[in-house]
Amino acid sequence: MKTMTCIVCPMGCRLTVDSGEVSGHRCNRGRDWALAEVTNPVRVLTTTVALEGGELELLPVRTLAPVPKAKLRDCLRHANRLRVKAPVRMGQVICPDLAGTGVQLTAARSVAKI
Amino acid sequence: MGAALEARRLGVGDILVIERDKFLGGILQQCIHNGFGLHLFGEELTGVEYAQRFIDAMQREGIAVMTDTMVMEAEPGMVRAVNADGVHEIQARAIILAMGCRERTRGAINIPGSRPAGVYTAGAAQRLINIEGFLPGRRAVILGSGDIGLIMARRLTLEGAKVEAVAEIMPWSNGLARNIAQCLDDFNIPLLLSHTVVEIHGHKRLEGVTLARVDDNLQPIPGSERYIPCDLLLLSVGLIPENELSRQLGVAMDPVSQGPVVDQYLHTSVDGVFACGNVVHVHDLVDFVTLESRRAAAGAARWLARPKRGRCIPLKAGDNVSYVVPQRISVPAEEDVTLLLRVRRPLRKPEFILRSGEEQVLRRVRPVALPAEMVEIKVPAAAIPGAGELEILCRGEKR
Ligand code: SF4
Repeated sequence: MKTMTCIVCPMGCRLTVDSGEVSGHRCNRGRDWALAEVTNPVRVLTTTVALEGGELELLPVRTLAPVPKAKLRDCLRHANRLRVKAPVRMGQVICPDLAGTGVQLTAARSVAKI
Repeated sequence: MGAALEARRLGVGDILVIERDKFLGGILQQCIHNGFGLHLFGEELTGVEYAQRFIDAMQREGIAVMTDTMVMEAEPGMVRAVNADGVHEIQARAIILAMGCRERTRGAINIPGSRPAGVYTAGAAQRLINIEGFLPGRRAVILGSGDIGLIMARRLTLEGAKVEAVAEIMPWSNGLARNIAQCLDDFNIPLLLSHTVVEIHGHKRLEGVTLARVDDNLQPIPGSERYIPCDLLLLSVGLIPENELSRQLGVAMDPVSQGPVVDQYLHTSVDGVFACGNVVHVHDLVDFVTLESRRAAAGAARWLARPKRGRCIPLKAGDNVSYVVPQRISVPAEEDVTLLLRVRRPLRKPEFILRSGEEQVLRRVRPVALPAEMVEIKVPAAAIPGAGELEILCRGEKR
């Protein structure tokens, strides 16, 4: 048996997983998340990457989908090596496959060129 | 932006948004983490993405914007603002205040000891790291477990710093449970409830802090002190609505919410002056800020069409309710009224009762209520009496 706080939405339900059975969830997204959490926990990674020639020097980025928790460090290391040139549009793909996870890293905002 | 877009949707032609920063979006621009927009967009966005969606919509709608512009003063009908081009006097038949909130600073929570470099509010550190690209320390203690403090514990860890502990003076955290899970538990950062910083060490640079356990009266317990070496202390000890301009306008204030007293149209005590978002009361979620801003826009649009105010009846916060917004209701109520409130202490099976004198107007039961989580209660227009006084109170078992 494992208990955890659901992080899918701000409700933060207390969930229990007992031999593949979830309880405490208020919605199905929470149930699916709990089942994944006991087998392969995943998280969305948000960070910044270096931006050249823009109104800002850092570009906030996010993984478009959650990545395995165990790969967060690798993803971060990969992101820290990236350099982007302005202009950038929100949603633009900054890296098509972050640290071999198959997950895209995208721009979280638009930044104009200076 | 939420209010501007809603006002445009409601047919208001001449709208101007004044922003003191270089970019629109306020504090969202430094909130690179996700957790925004689930209610409004049905998906989880980062703070920056949430802001960008509104910025893009503003551009599509062609709403006028002045950035890098500071409002110096305002009076009903007029706003005086200054920027690099000089002073601007702007006529406005309705003004919507949306200045947000600021962080409580250290002065507000007297910690004995020296005043070395390395002590920041959590939001200031967030700006340094996420916008300026500067890591202000390598070994950190965080005082206060508000959401920004929790978010910063994770952010610092991801940037390579070591977060020794998050100390919270109360026996419960004011942060969202999900943030404790994904920002602290994920990285094995201890959350020390009923703990506070009793001393700050170091002369030029911070060298460490002394933590101690507190008793039921929040007083440090002698003998429980523990020294933790660190070069960074972040304060996440709460937010206060930023109401300098509102005070200057002469708007009546609520001493508990620390924001303007408003009616259900978010109309303040000054005719033609509306307020929404964290300037009215500190919200948990930006989605709720946007929803409130839309109500303020609707109120302002209504005022522009018919600048007349009806009678107001007061709505008081009763037992276990620390504050309620709106604090008064214009009657007769034409539409359903949304009440937003906070409870004073964690309660199980809370029963919210709205009453007019001795008469119960409405009753709502929820599974739990926490001071950190805003409670929303919708009151049908028909249930609101045309006169008298209203009170909202809460009964429940202590948890
Ligand atoms: S179970 Fe559903 S409602 Fe509860 S926190 Fe998870 S996603 Fe939210």
